[in-house]
Amino acid sequence: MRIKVSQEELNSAVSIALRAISMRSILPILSGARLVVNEGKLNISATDLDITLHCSIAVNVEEEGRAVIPAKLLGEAVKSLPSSMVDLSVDNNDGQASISCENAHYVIKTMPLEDYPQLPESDMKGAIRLSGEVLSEAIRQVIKAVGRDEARPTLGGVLFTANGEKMKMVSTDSYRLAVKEINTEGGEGELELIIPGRAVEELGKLTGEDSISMNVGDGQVFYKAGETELISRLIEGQFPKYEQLLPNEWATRVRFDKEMMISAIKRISVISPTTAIVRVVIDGDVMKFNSYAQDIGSADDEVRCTTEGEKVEIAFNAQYLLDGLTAVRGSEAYIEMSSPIKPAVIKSTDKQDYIYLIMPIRLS
Amino acid sequence: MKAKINVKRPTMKRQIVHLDMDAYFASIEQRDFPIYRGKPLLVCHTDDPTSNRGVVSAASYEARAYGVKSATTVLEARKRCPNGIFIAGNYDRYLASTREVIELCGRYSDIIEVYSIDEVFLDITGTERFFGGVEKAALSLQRAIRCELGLSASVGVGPSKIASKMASELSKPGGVSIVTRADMPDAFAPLSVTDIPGVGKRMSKHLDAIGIKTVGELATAPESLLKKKFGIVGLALKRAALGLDGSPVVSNKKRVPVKSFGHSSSLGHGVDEPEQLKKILMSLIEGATRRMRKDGYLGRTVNVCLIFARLFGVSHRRTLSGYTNLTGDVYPVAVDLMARESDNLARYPVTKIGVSVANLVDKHEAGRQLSIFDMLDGRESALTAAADSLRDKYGNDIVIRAAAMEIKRNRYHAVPKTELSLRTDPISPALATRRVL
Repeated sequence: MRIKVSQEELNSAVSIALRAISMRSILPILSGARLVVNEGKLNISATDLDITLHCSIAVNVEEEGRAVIPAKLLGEAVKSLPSSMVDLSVDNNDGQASISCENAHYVIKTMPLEDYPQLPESDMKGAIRLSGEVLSEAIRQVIKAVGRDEARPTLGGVLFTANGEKMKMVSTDSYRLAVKEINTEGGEGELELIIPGRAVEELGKLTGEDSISMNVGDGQVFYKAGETELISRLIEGQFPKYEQLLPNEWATRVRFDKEMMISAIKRISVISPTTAIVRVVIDGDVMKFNSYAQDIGSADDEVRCTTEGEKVEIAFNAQYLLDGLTAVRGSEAYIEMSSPIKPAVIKSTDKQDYIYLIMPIRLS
Repeated sequence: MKAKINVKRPTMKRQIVHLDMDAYFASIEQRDFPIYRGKPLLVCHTDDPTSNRGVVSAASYEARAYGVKSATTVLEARKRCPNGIFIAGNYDRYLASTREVIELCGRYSDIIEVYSIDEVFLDITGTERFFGGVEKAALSLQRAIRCELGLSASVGVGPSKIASKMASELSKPGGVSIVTRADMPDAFAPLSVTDIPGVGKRMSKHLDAIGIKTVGELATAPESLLKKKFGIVGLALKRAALGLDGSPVVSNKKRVPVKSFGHSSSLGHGVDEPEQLKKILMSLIEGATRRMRKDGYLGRTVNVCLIFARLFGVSHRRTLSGYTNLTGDVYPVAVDLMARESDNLARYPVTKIGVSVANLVDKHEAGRQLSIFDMLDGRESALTAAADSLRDKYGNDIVIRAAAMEIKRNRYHAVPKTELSLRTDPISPALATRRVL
């Protein structure tokens, strides 16, 4: 294997693939990146068996071939090279990769190619197409609510359901729940899968202006954005039946300026960073916030708002509230409540495509 | 070359105040009900004039003139003081009054040890300067109690807890006495040995037998004799008589912080069936979380510890995203943590199993973060509340979770364990004799 490629292109491809490498992997071969050169392209792959990233770039091929090179070292070496043309060659007989750029020269021992696991592949037939921008925004809106509790593995993922041209993305850590609906750009189908939070997060970083293709097969989900492909295993199990949680009615609805509310909550939660409880009293057109910690003190703030319905006193985890407020779009938002022990809903004032449901804290 | 300087660390002379409320329960009654003032009032367990059971818990000074004091039997008291007014004590009110006293003491020091319902130790070392000296501080404290709470107190000040306690004995009722190191032990010489905390009837009899009646006699008694007669208790007695006591005033105003709630169980020769272990785990969690609910705590970190074949132990912990005190939240996490040891579980029997919940917060501070599962299935909270109230009424065994059934309680006896960040030696050897004797 022998190629010529610009340092910038090689660096960006390697650094994308490198994200799939897990520092905690028990299999040594998984710390390597697989390089495959054929048909005028270099395809770099890395995996931790949960997620796999492929990134291909056009290169000047002098000799096709394949090799596995320690990924972290490869990444650091390529990153440190001057921005110029890089010569990369691997001699599979003596098990050495050689990287040269201007006067710099690396010789790196390769890893046994035959140990590298077979990576899942898809021909992307019948894939659903999504707008990169739309998907990226949707991921931003649901990712914070993904659970981290190992005891409930299904909550550690985002539920994707597609029906016709509509696709729903749902996440919950059991304390809040985010539901986002997007339109597909083509390709119809019905599906229901739970994709690990980490894979969704990586997908969010990959998506840009390119449109994304999404396909499922063999217990894996495949995403393709331009020359980059992300493959993830699916989470098995039953996602909570969230539909019945979404309230149909409210007793109090408040319209408020999002930025003002965010600042007020950040301001008062300084007082109780460990417990982070915000007590909210909505009375007339004023939302009063209070945070209190025994032995420390208390903080209060107020925000003007437009209220419909009854007076309400309710408490939330400050961070969960902030996550919801930053996720919802627009300069103003609604929060709808029905009781201090029932879920509250944060939503946009114009669009109906996103709901952030937050469970209150029951004060004794 | 560096000069070597040896400076003996200057230590402040300790100034300990012992506050002793005079005829406490009777004084509160006389304060609140003017009709009792100036009369021989006896607080006991009942208003019933025909009842002679029990003992007098407090006697007003007017009643004491008849030779009645606390712990005199009601029968005896009626004989000695036929005109006495016998009333039933209202302990909630007395406790509330004690809280007021403690709050008032807080102005004089931040180190306050509530020794009993009518006795408080204060360490005013350093803080006496705010009041213009020890004497002024002691007088000011006494005056505040009289003017603001309408109660009389005896105040003793000394260089140790025991000295201050005996000093307050010297000033009863309603006086202030200050004993310095130079005054000791002569200041206490006339006191009876029974004025030493921990010396009761039986001990005083033993001391009487070797000719010791007063604190002065005890202080001058040869150490060898006391040691021969009473062992180390004898030496502690002598130190007490000399007013020597290094024990600190331990502030109990703040609740001693609890770090975790845990239960563990030794499993004899060991248990190897995972299902059986899960049942034991369930019952341990049930016990630990119940105590959390009772004491008003919520926790976040679940810790499971296993000892295999009495050979080696492992522990695993996980922090949840929200605070809880419910079995239903802790159990799945604990089972999951136990499953991490599946290799060892397959190979060795478990001889001890323990589970604890740490990372605690006060219930009132944190509240309980509700979860969507409370909405989808709110039965866990309701079930727990119902089971707790049943157990409060009928005892712990009245309801058992099905998952914890078939555990022979006599075989796997759960040991409650509360880790306290404990200050050791809260009472000095001298004060500890109260328990020893």
